[in-house]
Amino acid sequence: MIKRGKVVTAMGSLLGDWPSYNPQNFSQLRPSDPSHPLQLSPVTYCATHNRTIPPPDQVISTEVTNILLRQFYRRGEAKASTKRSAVDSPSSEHINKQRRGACDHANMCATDSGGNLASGSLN
Amino acid sequence: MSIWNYVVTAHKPTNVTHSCVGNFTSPHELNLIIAKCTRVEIHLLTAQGLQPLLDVPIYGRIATLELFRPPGESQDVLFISTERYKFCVLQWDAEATELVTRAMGDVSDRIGRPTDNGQIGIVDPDCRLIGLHLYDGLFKVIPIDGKGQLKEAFNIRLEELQVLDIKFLYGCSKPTIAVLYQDNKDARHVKTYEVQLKEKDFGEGPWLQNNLDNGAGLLIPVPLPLGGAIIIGEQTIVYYNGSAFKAIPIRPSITKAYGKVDADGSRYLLSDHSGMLHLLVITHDKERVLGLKVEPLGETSAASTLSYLDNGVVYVGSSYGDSQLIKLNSQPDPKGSYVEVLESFVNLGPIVDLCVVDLERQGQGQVVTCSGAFKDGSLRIVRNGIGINEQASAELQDDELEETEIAGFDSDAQTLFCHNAVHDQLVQITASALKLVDASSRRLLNEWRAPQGVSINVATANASQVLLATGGGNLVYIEIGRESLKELKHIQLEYEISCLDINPVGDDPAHSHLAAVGMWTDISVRIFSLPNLEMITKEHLGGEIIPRSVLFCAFEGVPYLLCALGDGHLFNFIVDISSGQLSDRKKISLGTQPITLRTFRSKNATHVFAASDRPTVIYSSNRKLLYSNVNLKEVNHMCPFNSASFPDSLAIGKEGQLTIGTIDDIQKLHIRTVPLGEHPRRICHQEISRTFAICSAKYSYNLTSGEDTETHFVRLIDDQTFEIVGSHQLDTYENGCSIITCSFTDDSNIYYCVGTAYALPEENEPSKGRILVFAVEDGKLQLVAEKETKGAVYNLNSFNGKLLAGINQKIQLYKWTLRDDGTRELQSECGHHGHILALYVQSRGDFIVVGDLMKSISLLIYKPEEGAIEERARDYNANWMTAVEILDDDIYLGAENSFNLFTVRKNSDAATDEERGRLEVVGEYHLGEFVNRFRHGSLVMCLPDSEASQIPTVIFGTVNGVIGVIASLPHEQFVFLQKLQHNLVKVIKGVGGLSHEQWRSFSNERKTVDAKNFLDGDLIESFLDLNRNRMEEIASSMEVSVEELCKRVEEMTRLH
Repeated sequence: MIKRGKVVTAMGSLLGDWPSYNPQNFSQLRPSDPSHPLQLSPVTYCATHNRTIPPPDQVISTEVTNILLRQFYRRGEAKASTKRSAVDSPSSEHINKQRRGACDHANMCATDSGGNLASGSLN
Repeated sequence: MSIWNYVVTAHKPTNVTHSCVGNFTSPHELNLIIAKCTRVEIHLLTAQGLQPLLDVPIYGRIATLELFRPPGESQDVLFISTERYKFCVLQWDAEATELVTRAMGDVSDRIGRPTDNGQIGIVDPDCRLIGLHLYDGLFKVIPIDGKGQLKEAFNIRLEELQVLDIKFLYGCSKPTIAVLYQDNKDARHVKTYEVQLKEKDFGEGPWLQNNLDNGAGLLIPVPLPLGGAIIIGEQTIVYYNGSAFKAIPIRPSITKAYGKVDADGSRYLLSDHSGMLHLLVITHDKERVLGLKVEPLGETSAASTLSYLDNGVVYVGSSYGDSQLIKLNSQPDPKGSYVEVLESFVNLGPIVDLCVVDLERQGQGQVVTCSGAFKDGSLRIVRNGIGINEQASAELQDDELEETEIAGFDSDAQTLFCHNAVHDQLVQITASALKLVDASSRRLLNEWRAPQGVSINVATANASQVLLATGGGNLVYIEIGRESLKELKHIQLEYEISCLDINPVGDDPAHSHLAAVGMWTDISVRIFSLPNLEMITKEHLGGEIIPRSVLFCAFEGVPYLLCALGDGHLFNFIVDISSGQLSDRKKISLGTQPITLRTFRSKNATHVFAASDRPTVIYSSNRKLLYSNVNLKEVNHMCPFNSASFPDSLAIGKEGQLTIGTIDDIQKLHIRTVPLGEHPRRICHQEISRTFAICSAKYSYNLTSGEDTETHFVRLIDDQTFEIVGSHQLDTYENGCSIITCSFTDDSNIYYCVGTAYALPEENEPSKGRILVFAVEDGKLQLVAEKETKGAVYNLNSFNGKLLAGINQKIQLYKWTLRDDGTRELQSECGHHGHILALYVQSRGDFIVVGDLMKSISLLIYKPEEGAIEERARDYNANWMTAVEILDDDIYLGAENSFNLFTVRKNSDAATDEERGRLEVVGEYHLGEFVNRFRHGSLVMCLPDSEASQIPTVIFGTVNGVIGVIASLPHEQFVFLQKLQHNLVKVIKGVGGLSHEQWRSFSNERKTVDAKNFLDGDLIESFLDLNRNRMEEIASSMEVSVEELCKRVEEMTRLH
């Protein structure tokens, strides 16, 4: 890198000093006839083992709550946390209840392919 | 009925869409990983070059491919996402040599508009998350924890709707993306966002840059210490990091791919649409960017991906031409190029058209494709099997080949066997004697004579041993020494001997300790030990046909015994060299006549030539025996022939003829490339003139106007030399759309008909086109008639001595009429309206099958008495068609633009008009490939009495360079193979945990349904790759023998 720190001008110096991971790589490669392109055929992999299925906690899906609802809860949570110092139970319980209801609703929307944002947001 | 179809790949995809480099198979090995649409290839970098390791089929079309290194690990893992919204993270287990799925999942959303500019999948350089942009207005995040475990994904609203590129920036305390987008006034900008994993939202990013180059399309994030990003436009390249801004103008070009050279991001390779490779250099003082510099390096195939490998060697992956391995030199070559092509790799994609012809008139189809695009356009001649290129024939008076006499040989008797032996000697075996001759003096050295009244029937020898059979089942073993022949053993068997072999497959190439003996009467093959001729094992072959040729040979180090019968069947067994026991018996049919087996070597590997009515080369690839037919008709004998004038050749004995020839590379499909330097779009073959005609487009850069221009041609090509022998330039803006060869009623001539369209820049759909009729005269194209049309002539069909054309939304029939002056013209007879665009048309008798732009398939009928074309039935699905073909009178095959295949059936027996007017969908299948053309035909030799040749096949060509075969099976066979497929799915797992059933389900924007009446031949044929235990497992659940199952699957492999 220090070498390249100098401002390079000539083409030769731009084109030299190629990064090398293993100097051996390609050192014995003889160019083939370009008019006869190669047909490489690596072994076809055939998975018969049981590790094509990932560990159960690594089967990933997308959170079902839609973005708008998520914002509502976040706002709600933010409010709740500011109020929490004063009186605790009733208001936070109320929020929890509301969230559960909304969650169910979101699920319903998701299963019904016509489910849309508008009805979700009216709730 | 062609309802039951079997789809199989004859040539795998070769279009390279993605590539990346990293330590995948081991911490100390560098791998190149390539995506070819539905397959991933893993290569290893070695001193000799790229070493292919694995070809991994993926049950999906690969949308994104990235290597990343989870925190604290020493090896990279591979992230793949598919177009149908599945993803997986794969890891290589070097010990078990297995691809292990670390994680997988479904990233689809119920609601969302798929992005127009392709899917984006990126991994944060600090490995905190994977980002996906799959739907407009949404950015999906898959968080990665400190242990490299993936967490539940979530979406973030992305304000920018027209996203062109998204990249993670380097060196940000919070993961940060840069988004290149276009606003609703078509201006382009870059904006950055911080991804707040806890809040599941975007925060404001460190910088933004408005009003970029109108053609800005690519973002390159620059690693630390510099940071920031490079924005590649069509006229400028810009570097920005929030404070420093550098820009340089470039010659107008569209950059399609980039590859990082230095780890610190000082240099990048850029490839533009015309395949010009540039080096982009950031000049800097390690902290500040001082400027940008772009230097042209040279030309390569137009790249879709660039990966810097090591020591100045770069992989150029291409969608439009052959992919290449290139070396960057520091000094230019005489043409001023710094690029040296080290290797190139065949790519047939995109196949836009193809035709099936029998150029050598041997009953075997060859496919000629229009491949590649723009300057990389070419014709490819794809042939199954191995070619023998004749160098000399002994019928001819040839100076190089003359008869020579060997004094020590008996030239009056018929020779049974002749071979080179140790100590520079030759052996000749005739019915009466075995003669040993000095190879240089040609003098007889020694002789072994059969006892009086007994003749030698069968004999074989290697360099030091002779085994011969005399009548009555007598077997004699003789060893060859210097000037000596020593009879060591003599036994008598209960039956006559039909064939023998002592070809050495052990360590000593001159000596064998096993002998194979084929028997009359009990139809068996027996293994004897040498020299004492004790029987080790006996294998009954069954049936009544005697073994005619036995042969020991080793393929890839595995010793086999081959045994050929008199009816063209061949058995193969694996031989245990030390014990002489046989195992893994398999039987296949090669031809119908007796087979003679012989080994030969080519390119340092042993192969077997099976001479018969259908000569075949038997070879081994990845430890599996493969059978490839040879382009010769009938061969009686073959032997290797190596001399100064004919190095590495084969001598082939045919009926009354001796031929010396060289052999092609041993591989199943042989591909010959004819580079055109322009883009072929349609092709058609004319038997009588022995020519091809193509429609092609030539693209050139006009230096004076500074604009890219295109000119379209009809070219005439000789079908033997593939030279362009004639050309017809089309008008300005005129494109060739279709080409056929046809003849007309009352005219014995055969013409080429070309349909064109004027693609005027101001028109959305062409409103004018032409039909041109050419005759081939003296090997040149002569325009004999032309007819103007009111739109693009998308297709032409020869139809009952007339010409049927699909012109925009109309089907039009023309008749060929004679004018008073004796010239001919096309005259409109009748037509049929009612299509959006009648893009693909096929006809059969009076029936016309139309594949519409977006209204699936409809069936029309021509009524000659009324001179009218009427609609008979249609498929009411809204499939956007890409190709159609008629499988039989009632079943029509279609391909649509979501990569599905389907078949529809005419309901002529239905009770009501309503039902008769509906084409019933009978088959559905997700091919995962965009089909551009179906053609009836076969890639393999059609033998009149082989089972395979009774199966009608259609060949297709796709954008990814796949050549595939659709075979219409009898119901019984379909049911059997369906059961096999069902069993195989349980044993052969989808890599990355992807489901085969989901992958093959017919799916487009409107519906997803399970595949029906199509079988996945690729999966079925991979049965042959399984180990014996797995095979047995499947065979037992199918209640058939492994041998029977192998035979039935091998039969299917012989369809392509």
